[in-house]
Amino acid sequence: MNRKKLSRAIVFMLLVTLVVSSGISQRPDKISPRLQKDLARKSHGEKLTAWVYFRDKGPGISQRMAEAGETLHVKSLSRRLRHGFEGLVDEYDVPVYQPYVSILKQQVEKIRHTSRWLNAASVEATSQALQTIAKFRFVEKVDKVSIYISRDPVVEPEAETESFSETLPAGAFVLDYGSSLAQVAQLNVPPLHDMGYAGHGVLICMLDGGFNNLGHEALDHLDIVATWDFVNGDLIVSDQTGQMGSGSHGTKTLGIIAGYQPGKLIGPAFGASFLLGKTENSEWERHIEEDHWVAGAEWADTLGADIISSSLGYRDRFSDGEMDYSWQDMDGETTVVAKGANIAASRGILIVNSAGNEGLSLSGLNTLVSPSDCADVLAAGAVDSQGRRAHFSSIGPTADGRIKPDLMAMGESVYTAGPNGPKEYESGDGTSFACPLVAGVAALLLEVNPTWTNQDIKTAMKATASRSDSPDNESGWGIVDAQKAAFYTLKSIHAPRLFTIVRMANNYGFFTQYMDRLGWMPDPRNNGQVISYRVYAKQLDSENSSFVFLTEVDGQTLSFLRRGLLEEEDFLYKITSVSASGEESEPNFTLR
Amino acid sequence: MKKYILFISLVFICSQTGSASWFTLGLNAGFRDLNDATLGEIYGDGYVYEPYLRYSFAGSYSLELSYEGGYKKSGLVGVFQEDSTLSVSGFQLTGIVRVPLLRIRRVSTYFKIGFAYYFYKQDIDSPFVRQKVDHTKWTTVIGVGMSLNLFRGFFLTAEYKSIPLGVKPFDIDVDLGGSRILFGIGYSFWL
Repeated sequence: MNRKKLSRAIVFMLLVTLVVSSGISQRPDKISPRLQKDLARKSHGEKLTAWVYFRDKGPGISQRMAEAGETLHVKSLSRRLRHGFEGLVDEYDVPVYQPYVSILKQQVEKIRHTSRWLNAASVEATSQALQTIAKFRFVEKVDKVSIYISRDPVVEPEAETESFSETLPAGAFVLDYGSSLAQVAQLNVPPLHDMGYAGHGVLICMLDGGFNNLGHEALDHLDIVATWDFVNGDLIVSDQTGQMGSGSHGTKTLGIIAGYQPGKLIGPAFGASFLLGKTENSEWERHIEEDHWVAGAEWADTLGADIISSSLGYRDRFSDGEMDYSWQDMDGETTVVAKGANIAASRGILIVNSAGNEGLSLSGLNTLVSPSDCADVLAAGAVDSQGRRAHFSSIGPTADGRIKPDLMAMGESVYTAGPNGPKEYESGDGTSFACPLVAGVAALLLEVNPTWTNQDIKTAMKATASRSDSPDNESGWGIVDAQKAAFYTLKSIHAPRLFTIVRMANNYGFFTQYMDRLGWMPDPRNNGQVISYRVYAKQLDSENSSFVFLTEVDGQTLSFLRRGLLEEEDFLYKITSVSASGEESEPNFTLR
Repeated sequence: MKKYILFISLVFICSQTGSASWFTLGLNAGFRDLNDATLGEIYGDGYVYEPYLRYSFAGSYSLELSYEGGYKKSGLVGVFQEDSTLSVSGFQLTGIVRVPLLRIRRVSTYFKIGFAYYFYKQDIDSPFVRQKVDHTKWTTVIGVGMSLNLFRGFFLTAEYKSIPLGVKPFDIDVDLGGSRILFGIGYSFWL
């Protein structure tokens, strides 16, 4: 028996073993309640889209991890190196175990994506097939792939006011920004362009709807490294006859971040390189499916993207009319895309995501969409040309009390390339359009500071934004200042991460007083340099209040209980790390 | 309303000045319970004492001024079980009507009704507490009692009283009311 036959025989035996063992391992809770609801509603023959999570990644992980490392682009490895990623490769890089996928293939209509990060496959299958799949021993869980409908905001017409750009003297900058001046000047981008920075050497992955009209005069200079249509599974990211998905939302966001046509449109990162991933279905009511987003993020990681600009988000407006995620789920950990975004960020990718166009419209504590709820994702909110928050721009805090959005950029009447001709331009509204502006600035920062990590970029952008001393849940840290951020001096130690707050009641019989439990996680980059943490508070409802020092706890302590608070007292808390030499890090904030 | 009752009482007393009248000094003591479930668990029921001065007239009627004190109890309060004390005391002004319910020699029975002005105070031994409970509240009193006359104006009493006292000094409704079972001794004398 030659080697080939032997390996075939082993695979066959393994498959037989798996299939035989599958019949006796059904756990009724393997199918998630929300999918069970769908199964009950649909007839046996009707097709459903579902995640099938695998119990493990199969045998020989070490060997396969080494093989997985070889598939990663050198840019991906160098990004991980820059972020001190231990071993450069880990189990998340190991693809799902192919024999499991082979068995699934026999049961389902279609394997949509496999996700090495989630150790899962998204499939299209009948309800009967999904029930059979749930019985397989190697299947951990079967869940619904959520399909959402995202709508662009309706902007109320406002009285004419003097645009920010109209206050600038003619010829103030080297480049002629034409009608796009307001959106880049508001972020103080032109001074960096004048110095020759345009995002050169930075790889940005755009995850968006269709990218039609890439031959537009403002886009034809672009270095597009790769494209992939995650909806239809091919290389073409523009509309194709007979395929799902149409529209040019991606064209518009690409024009905003990197358009270059002097006198008309210049985006902040026109010198950057791009990966274009089509992860959405259509134009006005965009059907967006979370498995496409995760697949896109994994693709971006493999090819070495430094930044993901993602102008979409997941929350509600389900295609079947149900609301799957509530505001309580916006804790940066719960949704599928949040899980994917967290893994992407842990690999050093800076993710910039639109905060959402829900304004104050949804019930609950926040109106965020995921993955903008993640701690490591920069949530971009929208302002008008005067710097006022757009009414549709989603607000925080996250369900676990973190301040969101993070940063603001122009999201009303944003000038960009149009979808219908090489010289067509148009304006659009939405946090979708603020997002590429913030991402573009991040690319400039990375060009100026090539050793910076994604956390460093976040720190610099927040520390220099317009509301850096008083962030809130409507405008975050405020409008980005590209020039200040690019030349910001980072401290050698970093603020604690995941700074959260829980307010608890203390009943004394006649009255209730409250206490805020503040919790945080050490930043792993500090490598034990932190000897203490300093906590400050600023009362929000009193005028002219400033931060008051509350306590300094040792570097091993990761929580602080502040007692004796009244119900109506709300605070902005600030925490810093302190090194042995007395250096205090930039602050992190949380808001009650 | 309270002023109205007081006015009527005074008018009634004045109209009776021609009848026989006498004074009584006495001291009752006994138990009280606390209606509020939360505070009841922390501080519980307690002892009270009640000195009083009673003016009797027209044979069957009396007006009584008394002070209820003695309820001061300690307990551990809040999430952190901090030391605290609760004291509740108050003045009562009641009208008494003697009604011969029992046909027993030397025993008389009576009803009382009136109003009271209560003081309540909670001290919590905690540097974090910012709200101070040291408040007052008007309320009503109803009761029923029995006296056993001894000799030369001395008598023994047993009395049951109910005093509602719903308060809300801050954000929580608290029921400091409760019933009292009191026993005591008194001495009646002519002026």
